[in-house]
Parts: sequence; structure tokens; C-alpha cells
Amino acid sequence: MRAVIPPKPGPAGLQVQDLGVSFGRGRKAFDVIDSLSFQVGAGETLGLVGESGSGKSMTAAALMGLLPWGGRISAGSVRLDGTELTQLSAPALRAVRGREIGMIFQNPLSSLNPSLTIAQQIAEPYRLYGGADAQAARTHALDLLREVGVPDAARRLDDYPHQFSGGMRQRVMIAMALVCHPRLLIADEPTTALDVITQAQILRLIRRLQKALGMAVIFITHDLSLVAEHADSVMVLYAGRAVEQGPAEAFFRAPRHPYSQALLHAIPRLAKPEERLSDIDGLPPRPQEFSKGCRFAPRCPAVTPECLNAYPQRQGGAHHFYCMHPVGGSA
Amino acid sequence: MSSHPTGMAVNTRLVARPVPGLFTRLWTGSLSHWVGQYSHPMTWTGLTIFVLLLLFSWGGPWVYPADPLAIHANHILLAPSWRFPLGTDNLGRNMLARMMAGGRVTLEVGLLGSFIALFMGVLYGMSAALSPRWLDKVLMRLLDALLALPGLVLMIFFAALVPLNALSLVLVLGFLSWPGLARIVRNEALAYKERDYVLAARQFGAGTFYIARTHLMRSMLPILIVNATFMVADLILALSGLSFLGLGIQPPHPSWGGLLNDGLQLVIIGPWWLIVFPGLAIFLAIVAMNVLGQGLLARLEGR
Amino acid sequence: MKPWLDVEGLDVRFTLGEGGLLRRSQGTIHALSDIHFGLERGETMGLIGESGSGKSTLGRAILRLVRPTAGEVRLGGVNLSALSEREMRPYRQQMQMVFQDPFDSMNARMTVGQIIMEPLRLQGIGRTGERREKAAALLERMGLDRRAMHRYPGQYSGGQRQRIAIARALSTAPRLLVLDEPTSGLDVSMQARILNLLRDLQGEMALSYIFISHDLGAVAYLAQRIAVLYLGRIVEIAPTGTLIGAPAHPYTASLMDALPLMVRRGEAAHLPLPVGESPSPVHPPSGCAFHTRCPRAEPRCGMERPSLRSVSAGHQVACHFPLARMGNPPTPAGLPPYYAAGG
Repeated sequence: MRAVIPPKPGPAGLQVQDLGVSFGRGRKAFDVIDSLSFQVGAGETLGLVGESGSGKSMTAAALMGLLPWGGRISAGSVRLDGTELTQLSAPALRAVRGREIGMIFQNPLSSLNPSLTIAQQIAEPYRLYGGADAQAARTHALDLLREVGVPDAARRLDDYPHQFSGGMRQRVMIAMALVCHPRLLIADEPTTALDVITQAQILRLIRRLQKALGMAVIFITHDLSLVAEHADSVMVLYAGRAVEQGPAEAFFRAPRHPYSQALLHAIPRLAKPEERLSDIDGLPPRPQEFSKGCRFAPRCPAVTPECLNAYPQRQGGAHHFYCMHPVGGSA
Repeated sequence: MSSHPTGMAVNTRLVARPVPGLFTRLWTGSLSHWVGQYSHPMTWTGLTIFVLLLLFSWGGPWVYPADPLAIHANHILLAPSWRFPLGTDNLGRNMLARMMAGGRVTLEVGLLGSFIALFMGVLYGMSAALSPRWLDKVLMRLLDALLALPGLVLMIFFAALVPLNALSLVLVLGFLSWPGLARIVRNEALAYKERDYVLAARQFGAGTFYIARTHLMRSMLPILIVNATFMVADLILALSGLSFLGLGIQPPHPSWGGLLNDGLQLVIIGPWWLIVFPGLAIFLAIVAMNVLGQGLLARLEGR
Repeated sequence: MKPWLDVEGLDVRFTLGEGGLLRRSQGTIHALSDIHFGLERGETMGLIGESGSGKSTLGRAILRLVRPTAGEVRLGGVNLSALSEREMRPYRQQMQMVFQDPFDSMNARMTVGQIIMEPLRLQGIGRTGERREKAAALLERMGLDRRAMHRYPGQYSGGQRQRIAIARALSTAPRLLVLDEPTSGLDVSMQARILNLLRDLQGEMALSYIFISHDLGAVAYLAQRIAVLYLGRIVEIAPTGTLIGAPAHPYTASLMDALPLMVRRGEAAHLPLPVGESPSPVHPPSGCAFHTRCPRAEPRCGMERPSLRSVSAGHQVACHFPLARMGNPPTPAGLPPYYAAGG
């Protein structure tokens, strides 16, 4: 396939530097995302973790250039294989989005058009961006459906979305996201609505396709146990800011931020069913209520007065965190 | 959790507060929720116009008492003046008094007629939705048959049987209008019947009547209000149309449609005030109800 | 001695399709077949299975929100299946339900107070003032402000709504709660909050739970015993520790294998992951219903349905070739040690 973005010097994959997203104007303006920096190399997976309202889906929308009305990227840069996406014109960004970035959502039924057959929905972007004729597009769609493990693919090509089960719909979504062999795949809670066996099947499928196609993957979830299994690096988001990030191996060996700890200990484990789960009282603040100090402070078990004064300094290297009273270690 | 309106956490145990009055409780409870939920510029505009029309028709005679039926041979077809603000007709009757009396009849038929239609529609639609499946099917086929009947023909048929006055017109128009509402009610009720909160109520030991009254009605109330609003406009229009066929309110009693029709008979001689004022009143009433309904609908769909 | 809640030979069939005045219906779904289990006071039974396994139907059939086609549900010796709806009413106080979707299970046009007081009102318990006081106290026990009484559920998040739903279920001081996937739509942190709350409440109020979920981790956290359902039948039932330590049915093993390593304590998978999806309950496979996906299936499995039989104390399995007790296999080589770290 024709490369859309001409290769440029610099590392392959996605680099995000100091990304900020704001809503509103003038005195009413407020940030929903603040100072996010991360990179995902080709063939690597970043686990983006947080509760609902932490800004993880907003981050994905910003990367795609699909922010809701009133939102804008207020700071920072987003580079995909060396191309600065924040500087692109709207049509150029649309082309990049169509060809270079694929996305799968939590609810495949609402992301599929109920009045078009699966073949039409998969083939359409291929004809639009891949420049193929109808027959080639259909063949391509069939190949993709087989690739994502839809049984009896040839017969199901002309079915409508409602004729598929939840797991099969998610496979169809994956096929759609992969039509143009994107360089970046964003998976936003792709398995939250699915049964455990189907969830395992789908996550393994994404992993396999990622290795085969050399894609960068951003895996958005609220469940750290899935990140431990499927991601190479982790970024924990709280109220629009990263509180801890780093390589998965280092992060899971010793998570330092109290919030990461709480998320990790909220997961029920079969080995110790009697051990009490950690639950954090309250909810994350809304963007209008963000304070200048540590945003987790009101819910933090280790909070002290200085936590409220200024945002904590970054500590650590590749695995780093923003906390004045980290768990474990002597920092 | 949504924060307290003042943004401050108040310890309720420590702060002694006066017991709020009934109105305060009503307002802070459901009323403010309702008003907040349905408030929309169009709703307010429509409601204001409609209330003004109601005030004109019912409150007007208190300010300007005059007999709408009294004939005065010595001031026929007078143009609007201080003495006759809306002029007089070809029998010397006071148009302002006739407009007020006509408004009472017209709005009465519109409001009561749609109330009857609403009542019948809810009764029928709800019964169908809560009946066993076979009975529901029978009731719905029956409704199809009713909907297929031409309303105008029925109207002419009724006109031959009963005397045409405000009461009979309210009843006849109401009875002719309910089948459409019944279908809406039945479809809405079937949809809400499948919701978990209805199942939960059954688990708490609720009977069919309770579920219909508390859950189904409460859930479909907004859509019913919107439909009733549009129906008021429809009925006012229908009543005015019937006047042109001589099937409306019978002379000498005025209705806005009847007044407009009378004025149009005299259009050749050119008394504009006999056409403009009734026409304007009908127009305002219909626009008011439609704007009101659209405003409510916008809020309903906006959620 | 019969258990407190005794489910015997429960069978539920649904007629499929409209089945109108002239048309015939298009067939039946055998949603539940021959379900047997018991539950004691203060005990939690976990029901686990994929969508289509009938686990939600079982919960509803016990509360008689779904009419069983055959079989009995006895509560304290009283056969509920034989009661009329009127006779059933007092028993409804003792058994309550928490639904999966907190956005669907409460009427958005009622205030939180009205919602919590609804069961009391319907059962005619207490006067208005007493009901209000009870509802407010329950809200506070759930960790919510009593000012919530006058608000609408639309103002609350999913986790908070689910706590309101639990308050409603507890308002009539029930003895049995059927929890139908109460945490499946929630974040991990919210799920932990609800699970801890349920655990505490059980201790305080001597409640019995039937906890329905597709998540073995959450079920194991609350349940003393677990029943695994597949296409309307119990395929394995055992005390939680036994089931997790030595699953005998290949399907149970698959459910465990599908969990992330961190959750399943870093053990190696028992079996390869089953292929495909759960078949339609309209046309269940012959013999053992799992044989179409089972990695260990043999010809016999497709022909002869295995019956539930005991393998150890309280542990029953319906399989011709159950897995042998393996004990704890060592963490396989190459696996990063942090997976096994409990934490």
C-alpha cells in the first residue's frame, strides 16, 4: 500500500510531548488534559489507565483530532512517524486519521452503521483511502474478516451488524480499524462489555495483529490486570494528568503512586479472596474543580498540607511518578 | 456526587435550619426539577401567548363588560374606535365582546377536547399494553379500523344526530381525536414495560395498576404533554374549519372560526376588522401551542 | 435437613417469537434445565457463566419474576412455586434483587427518596415519616448524603446509583439478595467499593446472597460456593477454594484461564482457550453442550450428556472426562515474577 505520510527522520511510532486540551474561552477556559508526554514505538503497546472521568478517552480524541465541540489542543505536540499532527490542515488530518490511525470502541454496536452490511462498512474506507475498485475492496474485506476470526466469513460478508453477537461485532470493528493498515491503533475499553473468554480471545487477536503489522497500540482501560498482561508500558491518568508512568515491568514490580497502588489493589484475585480490596472513597474532580496542588490529594490516604500547594515534582527516570509521599522506597 | 449548590460541605447535624414551608419543599423538590427540565425560550414564548389569550377571553369581560349578542341597528359595521375597540359587525354587535365570547368557546373546545382525547387515549392504549398479547392485537386492529374512518364524514354524520353546541363539539372532537394518542400511549407503555425498574417494582410486589399509574404514566408524561399541546392547536383549527362548513358553533353564538367565516362573507364590502381580528386570534392560538410543544419537545429530545 | 433456600429441578422455557393470532411461534428456548442447589442463611452462592448461560434467568426464576416451567423453589420449607401472586407478596419482602444496569433499574422521574421507599410503600411497611427516616439512614449507610433523598438519579454516577439500588433492595430488611451482575458496568475502583460494601452488609445483616457474574474474580471475593452454568445447566458446583484450586470441568478451567495472569495468581493455563462463542440456546449441541468448544472433547461427549456427579465433598461436575486434581503447578519459566506477586 502507498504510504501516506512520507517517512521522515526520527523514531517510528507516536510521540506526544506536553499535550494539553482545553475547553471554553477567556476566563471560563479550563484544562481537561494537562502536560501529557508519552511515546509508543511501532509494535509496542501503551496501557492508558484511569477511572471514568480521568481524561483517557479525551486523550484518544485529541490524538485523533476528534475533540468534542468547544475543545481544542492548547499545548504540546503529537508526532506520528515524525509528522506533526497538530499542525496539519483539517483535510490532511482527515486523511491521516482515515489511513494511519485505527480506532476500536467499547460499544461496537453504536459504532457500526446498522443500515449497511459489514462488507459495505469495511470496503468503504478501503475504496476511499486505498483507491481500490469495488471487487478488490470486497476481496480485501473478506480477507480481513477471516484474519480477525469471523467464522464462515464469505457468507457473513453481507450480514448487517445486528446479526452478529457482541464478540463478533468487536471483531468486525477490528477489521474495520485495520482496513488501511494503520500505524497507530487506539483501543478504547475494547472488551469491557464482553464475557471473559471472548475478552481473552479479542485481546490476543489484537496482540497478534499488532505483531504482524508492526502497529503502535494505545490500550485504554480501567483495569490494570489487563494492562499487566498486554502492555509494554503504562501511563496512569488521574484528573487529566499522568500520576505515574513507565515500562510495565518496572511499574508492576513497584508502583509508587498511592493512586496506582489503590487501582492495583482494587482488583479481586483468586489467590487471596479473603484479603480486603482497597477502595477509594469519592470521585475524581471535574475539570472546573482542578486545584493547583496534587489532584488526588482529597482522596489520598497519605495526604499532607504541602500536597495541596503545588503539583508534585517528577521523580524517577524511565519509570517516574508525581507524588510527595510515594509508596515504598526512600524517595 | 454533585456538590451542594453553594459548593460547600455543610454538616447538617450541626447547623440548625428552619423547617422549610410547603412551597419551598415543593420548589426545591420536584417543581424546580420540572421547570429546569422543560425550560426553553420557545416554551416560555408559547406559554405567554396562550396565557394572554386565556386572560383576554375570560378576564376581558371584567374589564370591558358588553353583551356579545345584543343587536344595535344604529351602529352597523363601525370601524374600530374608542367606543368599539374592534368595531361592530353587520348587525351592529360589539366585535370585542364577540371576540371574547368566541375565544371562550374556541379555547374551551380545544382544551377540553384534547383532555377527553388524552383520557380516552391513555385508557385505551394502557389497557392494550397491559392486556394479554392476543387481546392487545385485537385492540390494535380495532384502532387501525378507527383510524381509517374519515373524520369529516363522521363529523357530518354527528351533526345530523346531535345539536351543535360547545358541549357536543367538545365530546365529538375529543372522541374523534383519541385513536392516534392511544397508539402512542400503547407503544410507549410497551417500551417502558420492559425496563428493569418495572421488573424491580414487580419484585417489590407491585400490581399491574400500580405499575401503570406510577411507572408507565410517569415515564410517558412528557411525551403525552407534548402531544396534548399539539392536539389543542389541531382542535382549534378543526373547530374553525368546521365553522366554514356550518358544522361549528351555531349562530348567533360566536366562535373565532365563526367570526372569521362571517367576516369573509362580507369581504366585498371591505370591513377589514371583521377578518383581521378573528384571523389573528386563531393564528396566535395555534402558533402558541405549536411553539410551546416544540419547546417541550426540544428539551425532551435534547436529553 | 433441607437447606434454607432449596432449588429443586428448576426448568425454564421461553416461547420464541411473537406467536401472533394466526402465526405459530418459532420454537422454544430451554433457558434452564434441571437446576438443583441449596443456600443457607448468611451464605453466598456465586453463579457464573457467559451471556446466554441462563444465570440471570436463574436469579429471576428464584424470585419468580420468571415463571418456572417445572421444579420448585422452597424458602424455609415453603414452596414458593405453588403460591399465588397474592400469597407470594409477604415473601417478596424477604427476597430482593439488585439489577445489572443502574441506569435502567430506577425510574429517572422519581427522586432517590421515592425510589428507596417504593418497596416499603408497596409492602405497606411503616408510616411515611418512618419510611423517610429509614431510607435516609440506608443512604448514609451506603456512604451517600441524605440530601440525595430529594435529588434525581440522573445526578449520580453509575457506582453511586448502584449503591442507591442496594439501599432500595435493603429497605424491606430482606434475608436474600439476588445480585445480578451488580458491578459489571463499573470501573475496577467502583467495583471494589461495591464488593466491600456487600461483604460488610452481609456481616451486619446476616444476608444470603446469590451473586451472578461473568467475572470469576469478583464472584470468588464474595461467594463461599460457586455454580458454573453453561447453556442452562450447572456443569460444576463446588466450594470456592476447591473450584479455584482444582477445577474439574474443562469449561470452568477455561473461564479461569481466560482471566489475566495477575488475577489467576500467575498459574499456567490448564487448557488451550476454547474457540468460538457460546452456541445459541435455541439449538444447543447434543450430548455435553460444551463439546463443540471443548479442547478435550471425544466422540462420546457429542452423544451422551454427562450427569452431575460428585468428585469430592460438595464438589459435583458434569463431565465424562473431568480434569484430574493438579495441585498448584509451579510458575512456568519465563514468566515475570510480578505476575505472581499478590499485593
